[in-house]
Amino acid sequence: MERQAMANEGDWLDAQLRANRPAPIADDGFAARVMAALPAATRALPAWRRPALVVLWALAAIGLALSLPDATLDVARQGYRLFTAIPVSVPQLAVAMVAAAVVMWTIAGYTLRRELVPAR
Amino acid sequence: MPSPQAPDDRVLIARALATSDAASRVAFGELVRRHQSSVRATLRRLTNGNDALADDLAQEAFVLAWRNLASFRDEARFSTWLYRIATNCWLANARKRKDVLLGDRGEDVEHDDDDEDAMSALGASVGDSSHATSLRMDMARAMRVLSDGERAAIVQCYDNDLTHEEAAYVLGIPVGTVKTHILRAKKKLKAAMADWAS
Repeated sequence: MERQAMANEGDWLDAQLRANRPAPIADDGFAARVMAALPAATRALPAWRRPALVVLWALAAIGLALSLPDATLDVARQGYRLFTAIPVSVPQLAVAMVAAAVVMWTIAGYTLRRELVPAR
Repeated sequence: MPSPQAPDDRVLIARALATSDAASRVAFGELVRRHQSSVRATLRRLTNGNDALADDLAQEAFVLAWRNLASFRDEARFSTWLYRIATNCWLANARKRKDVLLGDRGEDVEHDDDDEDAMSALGASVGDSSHATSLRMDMARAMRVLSDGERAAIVQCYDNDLTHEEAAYVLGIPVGTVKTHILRAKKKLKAAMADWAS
């Protein structure tokens, strides 16, 4: 009996809380004030933009190599000679690899940082 | 409420993100007009009827929503996401004044001078019978007995019709804490409204 009374009281309170919802508020220029306060939009980059850029750069490099085959071969040969002419010890190789990794991670971090895929 | 022909929130959000600046603003403006009432009403409740502060916080919330629209995911409704931003604005403002806590402490809060003004405004609601007006005023008074966390939970679950899970997302607290707030709030409200219930 007491439990039933408590349940009824709960139902009554639920009903009152729902009936006590605030009435709709008229705009009265609020939206206009908000729109006036909005900062200029910074366009979000489309998701396909970065892979598309990588593909375009790769195509450009391949195109350049194919259009100037002699120059490309010369550059490759000279690069190889330069590389093999330098005596490289294991510690030097390790330092070079660490340096290369740092550079790559820095570039990756910079490229993927949140500001480039904003928020507006 | 959008009319049946009006595009839904997702379409407007997509337009706001993918179109030129002018068209983007038009789409976002529609979202503001569509949700301003519920966001402002929520903040008015949370600020204990301080309409000016509530509107300032609502404006801040919409500007933040505009800035972060690209981070909106369909995991929540747009309105729920807005409530979360608005609640965070209210919390940030209240923290400056160091007078709000959403934690499970069950503490009471001090009432400010806006309370009586809000009561008068409530009593002046056009079209209410004196009985209904008295009931609404007593309910509003009873709401002021609640702690900030309890009131915020009641506002989200009853005024905004959110589930406990959605309210937890909006308030940034565990679901269990929301349920505790609701239970405590109802207990206090029952005690405060005992004369009406009997």
